[in-house]
Amino acid sequence: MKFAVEKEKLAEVVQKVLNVVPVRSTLPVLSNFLLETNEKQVSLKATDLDVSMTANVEAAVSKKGALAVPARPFADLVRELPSGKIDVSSTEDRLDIKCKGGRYKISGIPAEDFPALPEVYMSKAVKLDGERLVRMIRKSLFAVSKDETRPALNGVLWHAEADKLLMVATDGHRLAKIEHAKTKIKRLTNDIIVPPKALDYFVRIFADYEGNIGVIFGESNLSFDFGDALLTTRLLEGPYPNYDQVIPKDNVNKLVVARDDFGQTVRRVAILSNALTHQIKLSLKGTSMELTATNFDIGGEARETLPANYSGKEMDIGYNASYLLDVVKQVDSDELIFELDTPTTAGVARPNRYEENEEYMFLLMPLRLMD
Amino acid sequence: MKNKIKVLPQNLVNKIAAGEVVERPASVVKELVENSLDAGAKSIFIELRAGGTRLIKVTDDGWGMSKEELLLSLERHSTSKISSVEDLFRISTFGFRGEALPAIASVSFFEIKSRDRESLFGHKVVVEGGELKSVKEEGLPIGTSVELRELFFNIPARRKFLKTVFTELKHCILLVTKFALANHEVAFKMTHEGRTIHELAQREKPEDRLFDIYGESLSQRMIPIPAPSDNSKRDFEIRGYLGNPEISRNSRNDIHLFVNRRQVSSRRLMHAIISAYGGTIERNRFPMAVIFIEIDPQKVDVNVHPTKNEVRFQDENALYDRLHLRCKQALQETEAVPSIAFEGVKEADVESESTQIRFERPAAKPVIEPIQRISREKQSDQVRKEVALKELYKPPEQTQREVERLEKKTPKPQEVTSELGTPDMWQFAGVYILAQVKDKLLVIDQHAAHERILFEEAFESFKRGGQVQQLLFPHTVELTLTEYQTYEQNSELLAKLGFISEPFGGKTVVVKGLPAQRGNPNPEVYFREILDDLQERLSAGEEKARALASAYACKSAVTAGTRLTTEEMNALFDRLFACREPHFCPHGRPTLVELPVEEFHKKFKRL
Ligand SMILES: Nc1ncnc2c1ncn2[C@@H]1O[C@H](COP(=O)(O)OP(=O)(O)OP(=O)(O)O)[C@@H](O)[C@H]1O
Ligand SMILES: [Mg+2]
Repeated sequence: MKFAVEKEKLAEVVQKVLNVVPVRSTLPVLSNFLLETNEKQVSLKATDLDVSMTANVEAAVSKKGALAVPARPFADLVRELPSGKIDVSSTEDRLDIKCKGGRYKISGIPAEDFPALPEVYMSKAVKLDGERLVRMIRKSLFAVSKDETRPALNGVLWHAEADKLLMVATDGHRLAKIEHAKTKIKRLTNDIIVPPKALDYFVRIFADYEGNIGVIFGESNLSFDFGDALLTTRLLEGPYPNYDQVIPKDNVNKLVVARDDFGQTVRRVAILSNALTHQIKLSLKGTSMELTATNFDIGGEARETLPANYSGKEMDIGYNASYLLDVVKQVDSDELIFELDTPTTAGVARPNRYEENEEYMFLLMPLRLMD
Repeated sequence: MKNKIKVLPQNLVNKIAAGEVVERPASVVKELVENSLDAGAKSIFIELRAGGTRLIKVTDDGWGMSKEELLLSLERHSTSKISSVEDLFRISTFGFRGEALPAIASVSFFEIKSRDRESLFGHKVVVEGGELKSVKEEGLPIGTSVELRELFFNIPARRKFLKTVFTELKHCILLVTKFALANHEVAFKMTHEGRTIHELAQREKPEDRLFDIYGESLSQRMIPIPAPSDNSKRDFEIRGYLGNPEISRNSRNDIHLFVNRRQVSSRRLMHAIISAYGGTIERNRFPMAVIFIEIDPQKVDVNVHPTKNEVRFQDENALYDRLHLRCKQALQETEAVPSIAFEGVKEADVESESTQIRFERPAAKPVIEPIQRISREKQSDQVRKEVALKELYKPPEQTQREVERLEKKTPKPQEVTSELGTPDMWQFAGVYILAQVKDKLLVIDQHAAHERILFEEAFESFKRGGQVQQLLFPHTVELTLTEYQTYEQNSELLAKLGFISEPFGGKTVVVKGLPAQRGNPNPEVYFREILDDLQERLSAGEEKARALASAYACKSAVTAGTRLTTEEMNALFDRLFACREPHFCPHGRPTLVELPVEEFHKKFKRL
């Protein structure tokens, strides 16, 4: 393998792919990049076996070849090299890097020892608005369950029909659902469950891009095609719980409250809530609501009233304050709407207006009050 | 006055025999079901009331008895099952002593109805406390039904010995469960007070029955013991299923051992099974296992005890080794147990127990004596705590008192915390929280401390109701029969604590809410853990509320190895010192030790 490449371009790609290299791994080979060349390009690959990434950079290739090199030292080195052209060549197990006045060598391992990355059929890519995807991921990812004993809940469910893409996440206490209409995906034959790690990488990597992104739905993989980079993730296995069934359709008690005021009050009141359950109580009645919390251990008690617009039957309903704050964070409108039924059943939280072709909502299960 | 020797009247002999054979309702059920199975029944119906103390009725569709046989069956030592001494050494039926029916009839209001294939009519015989009352012709289906009421009505001492209805019923259920596991081709139905407990259809394969009994989630995690690799003829065949280590239990109740289909209890054989799991199961946890041993009837003696629960083997050591090996192989094949010890060891090389490695942990001993007090505390507080400490070590009868004591109003927590201030804290080894308080280093065991907090909180919840996190997706949990019984008996307290659930038909429960303190656990796993632990504590004789509070505390507390945030450590610290007895966990282990700065000075030779 032998090629010449612009330092800045190589550094950019290296940084991107480094995202995927596991920090600690039981398989030492995974802490390597695989360097590979074709006629006009050098490609850099990394994988943690769940998520893998390939990125390409243009180069003057004079001899084709491949070698796996330790990712972190290579990345550190490339970053510090002076700008300009660098010459890279490899022997059987060594990488030789030359730049103006400098010469560096790193031992590598044969390319055959690097795990094969899943095959991706680029032709099947669907173009999706990247900014929209990031929004959808942000608004769902926080609700993903971290309990490893329920693997299906450890991912974000993607469902598509009638040109609408839907993402759902839940941890069994709350649920986030966001949909984006008029996309290029007509319909997905099977719902897929995408692990959060890949979505997190996607959000990070997309920061350097804009516009449309190719999304490829494989049999057991999902890939994002950034043009010069490809991110692929293994999918999780279902079955995913029937989320539609638990979304209440006719919660008639409606609360409208200013989002920022509500958020600040919840944050204050929560300080004196039970340290483990974070339970705070909303007392709903007429044009105001009262938020209260108690912490017996430190003898703390909080009580605050907040103007609100409530229409429905009088009720006291408890929630985990941190769940409320998550919702406040995700709602972008200035007003927040709660649609409630009873103090023991699921409540809906949503913004008072949506962006075009977008709709989202959150479900919260109450934390029942002591009688 | 000296009594003359005399032959005992038959009725008294029967009563004495009853003392040996019939210990409790479950032993009656056992004798009757065995008789039904011996009679080739394909369907057996067991009805109970008040745990079997009020009523036991067993109906079968076996080959029945003629009038003569019926009357003879009630005579002592009359049996159709053996006729010579030789027979005694090759018993293939469950019964052979010919004493069960007369014994049972002598201690109850007894009625037996039967019709055999040859007769057009059946007969009904009524016996009261061993006295024959009537014999009547009656139109009956082919088969036998035995009904007895008020067991031990004429032996008040025995009757007194009976445990609660719940306990007696538990024994009956366990017994019938075992029969059902060993006789998959027979249909069983069992009811208690008219409510169906078991309804098991005839099945073709033993694993179908396993599924019926343990439900999908558990039976899927049972590994079949594969057929032996070579076909050489052996003295015994071993078949069955082993639960994988993740479904380990609190008791041995789910280890079922059968020898020629007879349920037997054998500590030694159980040991062969349990030890095959090596270290994959924690100490004091037990695997689930259903093991069938087929053995030449001549090589096993079932006539050890009238209840026939024990058997004697001609070569028990060989059986032990073989059973242990087969279990080990089965578990290794599925990689349930890492193969450290037996790699490369051939069957013939395996010796008895001595070849096993033991995975024993040294008993944890506190390095430093637990402190008895925190010096800053007010005198009165301290006296109170020392009293509490003494009470903790009183024998179990005192626990009710402790419950009451705990239920008394908590003092204003500020008293303690304001004096302590908020110290800096850090976590050590994922197990301990270290905090400096004045010139002392406090070392808190995070699990023990949390247990104490939750334990005391549980009693508060019993009074006022706990905080419940409602679940978005109600979870159905298939319980085992014993778990279900425990659930039913304690559903009210469970609800108070925050376990919001409802029966869902059969042995299934739907869980809709959980105590909020626990965070977001897997509802099924958590619920089951609590029930198992509770069951264990109840059968150890712990009082209900206390048992549940301890089970809850134990299963909800943060485990050793859990990383805690500063916020969480602070909360734990504050809440521990708001407890009535902060120094010990509910089981009496210390929650904290105190290291005065002088100790350090000494170590560093500053003093
Ligand atoms: N359900 C039944 N169907 C047909 N015959 C029965 C039934 N129950 C009892 N018998 C007959 O009555 C006899 C006496 O029963 P019993 O249980 O007293 O003695 P056993 O079963 O022979 O021995 P053991 O005392 O060891 O149980 C049996 O041998 C059998 O012939
Ligand atoms: Mg019998």
